[in-house]
Amino acid sequence: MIKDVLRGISQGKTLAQIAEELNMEYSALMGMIEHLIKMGYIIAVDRKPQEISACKTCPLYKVCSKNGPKIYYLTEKGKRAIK
Amino acid sequence: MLIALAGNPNTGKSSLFNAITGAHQHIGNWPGVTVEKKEGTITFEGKKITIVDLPGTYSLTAYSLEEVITRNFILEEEPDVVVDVIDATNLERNLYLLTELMELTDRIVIALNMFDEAKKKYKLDVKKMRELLGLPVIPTVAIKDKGIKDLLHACLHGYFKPKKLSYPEDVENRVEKLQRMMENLDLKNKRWHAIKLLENDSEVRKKFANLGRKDILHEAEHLRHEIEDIYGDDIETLIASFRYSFAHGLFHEVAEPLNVGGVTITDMIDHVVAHKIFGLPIFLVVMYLSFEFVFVVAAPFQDAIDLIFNGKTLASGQHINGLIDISYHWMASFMPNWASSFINYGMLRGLAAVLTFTPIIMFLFLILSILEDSGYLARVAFLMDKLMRKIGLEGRGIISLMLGFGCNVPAVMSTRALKNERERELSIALNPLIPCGARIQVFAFITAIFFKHNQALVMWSLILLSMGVVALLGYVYSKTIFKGKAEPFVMELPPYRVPSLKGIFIHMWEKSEGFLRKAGTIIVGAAGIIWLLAALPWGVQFGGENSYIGQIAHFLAPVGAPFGITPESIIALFFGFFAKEVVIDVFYVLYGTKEALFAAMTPLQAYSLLLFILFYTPCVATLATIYNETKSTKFVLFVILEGFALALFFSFLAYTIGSFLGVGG
Amino acid sequence: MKLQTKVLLSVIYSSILASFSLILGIFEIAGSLGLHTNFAPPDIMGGFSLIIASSLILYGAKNTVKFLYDGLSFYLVGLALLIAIGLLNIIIALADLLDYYILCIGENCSGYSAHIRPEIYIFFLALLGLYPFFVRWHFRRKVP
Ligand SMILES: Nc1nc2c(ncn2[C@@H]2O[C@H](COP(=O)(O)OP(=O)(O)O)[C@@H](O)[C@H]2O)c(=O)[nH]1
Ligand SMILES: [Mg+2]
Repeated sequence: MIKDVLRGISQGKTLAQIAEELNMEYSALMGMIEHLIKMGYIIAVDRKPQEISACKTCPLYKVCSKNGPKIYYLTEKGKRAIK
Repeated sequence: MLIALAGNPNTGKSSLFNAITGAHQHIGNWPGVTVEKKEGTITFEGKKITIVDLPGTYSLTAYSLEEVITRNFILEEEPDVVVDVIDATNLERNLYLLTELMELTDRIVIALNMFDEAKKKYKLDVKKMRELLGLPVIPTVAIKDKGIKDLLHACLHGYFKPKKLSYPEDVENRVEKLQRMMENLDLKNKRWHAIKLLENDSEVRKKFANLGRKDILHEAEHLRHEIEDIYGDDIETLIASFRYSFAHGLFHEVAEPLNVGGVTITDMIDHVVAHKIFGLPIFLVVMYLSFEFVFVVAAPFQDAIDLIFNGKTLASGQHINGLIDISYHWMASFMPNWASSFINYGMLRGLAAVLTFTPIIMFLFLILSILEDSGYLARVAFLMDKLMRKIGLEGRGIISLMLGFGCNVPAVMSTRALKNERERELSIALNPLIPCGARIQVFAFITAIFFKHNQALVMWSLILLSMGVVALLGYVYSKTIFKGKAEPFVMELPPYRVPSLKGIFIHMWEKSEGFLRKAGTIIVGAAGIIWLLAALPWGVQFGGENSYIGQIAHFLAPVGAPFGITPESIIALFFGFFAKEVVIDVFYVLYGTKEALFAAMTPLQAYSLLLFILFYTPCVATLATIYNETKSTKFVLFVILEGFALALFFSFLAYTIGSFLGVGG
Repeated sequence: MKLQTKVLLSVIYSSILASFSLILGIFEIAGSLGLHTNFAPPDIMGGFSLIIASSLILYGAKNTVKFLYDGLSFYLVGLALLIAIGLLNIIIALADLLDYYILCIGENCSGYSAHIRPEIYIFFLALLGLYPFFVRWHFRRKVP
């Protein structure tokens, strides 16, 4: 199952799509994702506070979009796992 | 008797703990750490029972303190019963921890908490769950004190005959082998230790190192490699996979979702808007409808503000005074005419112009806030990613840039998250081509004046063009200068929600206020400078050919001619280099009124100008950030040249083709 | 009436409406390319929007009748778009009216002569097709 999830990620599916294909509950998939992060298969990339504060250097900083979706990348280990 | 409450975070452990113990609790810390430990005692059926609330955990690995505390407590203190508090509304997720607990102890009672909510989501077969697990399963509703007695009763008299998860023989053999090596060690639950050793658990390895049993560690290492060779997988994944499959299978045995497969409205919308064929057209439609809304709704407000400040000249030639005319006459009564003219027709009219433009800005931000807060913009980013993959674009970093469409500065900074250097450079090179909020304002401004009937269409075409160019250039770059490997990723799309009215208005107000403040201060300064340029040297006709501004314009005229760009526009573009939205101010100061601006250019010229603004150099702040991130002057130059090349290409193309066809002239 | 029949009727109704919208959309595009018709105002992107919305409805119709989520999703998003287009046109009409009278201040203009775009009728008609939305929990992921 873990590999199916990693494979889904590498194919650019959304988490909702992966959950649907594996017939998993969305919350269960999110739990697995957290686990995979701990095991070092994926990393989560979030908007960092320093980037948001960078908005302030911009002439219209209030226009900055302050929250984006979380993005998860496969790590080298993650890529190796599905080879 | 000792009962421990384990479970995922937020499953209601503390609620259950409170429901059981009432006021009899004691709060302290776990030894040596600052994780809270709650303990309580009650008497039930004449028995004294101590209850411990364990920290919430999703699994029992050695990765976090909470997990280590939980498993060590169960292992060392050997509670008589461990109650696994399960959030029954997220059953599948919660079952993973159960599989780990079952390796740790046999005496587990399962509390299906939040049963009230869970009943709305699935049909749960509690009896079957009991049979499949061989453990007591008790539905509870902690916040309503329901099921507490049953739970305690099960703890005292329950029947514990767990049907354990067993691994494939290749694994089980080796677990047993390790177990046998531990025979004469004083260890509780040797099977668990053996499994954890195979899993390469750091805490357990330390334990054996402390015991001085290097031999066991070596053997575990050896066996682990054997298993990994057999399955071609690393063992941690292998074992975790088994547990997930077990939890998954169990879940489907006992729960039948009422709302089939838990399909939500979000799922339904995403099914369509992220569709491989329909996704893009829907986005185009949404974008078009949004722009249409902005311009149409803003129009009456704009006209009203314009009327109040500038008055109007009737068909009969009679002029109705607006506030500015009134103020001019009033000031002229006690100061020189030129001063009153400067204040009223120079600065005040500029300010009024900004105000006239405000409704568009407000509605633009209103619609952007709705699109963002509802969660749709995140889908657009996803859609773009898919599109780029289809054309073979290597380098998905562009997505995080798309999300920073409000401003290029943080977008460039966000490329730090990309580990791959090539991909990062590619993203930075493409980033300035994505129109930032300031540029979109300038488009809206020019569009509103020149394209009375096709405003939305014009705006739409600009956004579409920029996305097309980003995709195309991205493709070309990734095949030539920035060759790189793709970085696979997945996005967590937030569920759709109806944005709160308050949130939207705060959003909209914040953004519009920023614009007003900025435009207001700049216009006063810019108005001063440009008024002077138009009035000097002394004695020339104001803004005439011999004034400084006239001379500058005369000098610049040939430069813009092939693109249909007027000298005044070039001056505006120059100021726009410092901050894009200043372009609006400069236009107003140079031309005075919308009508004058409208008369100065044909729609074709205006469109050519729009294309130029779309691509020409990013603003100073963005360039500074690019330099900061790359530390390369060459890169900054590249970005500037890229912008100008595209700007010249497209405005020349549009102007030439347009003139040739005779449209918009 | 059985649930199946109600959904079927609703889908047939919406499909007819969608077909009209589709034709209207095509004529609006044709209009802006110079082929004027009386009932369709020339409007490229407006026509395109109508075509997309109605295609979604027609695309999802079959599977909606089969009680599949897949179909229902397209059907409902299409209807929602159609309703949004209609609503937008109502807002446009109101804003135009307001603008007309603001620009009239100080002058004596003739009364406002409204031209009602067909999309406005479609707005009200499309609302009637929403029935399947209210019975959505009877839908399945796959045919049972
Ligand atoms: N509907 C419902 N909510 C519950 C139930 N038990 C707990 N909650 C709620 O779930 C949330 C988390 O509870 P808490 O006891 O803090 O969880 P803990 O993190 O596991 O200790 C709180 O908001 C509780 O009010 C229940 O049986 N039914
Ligand atoms: Mg708690």
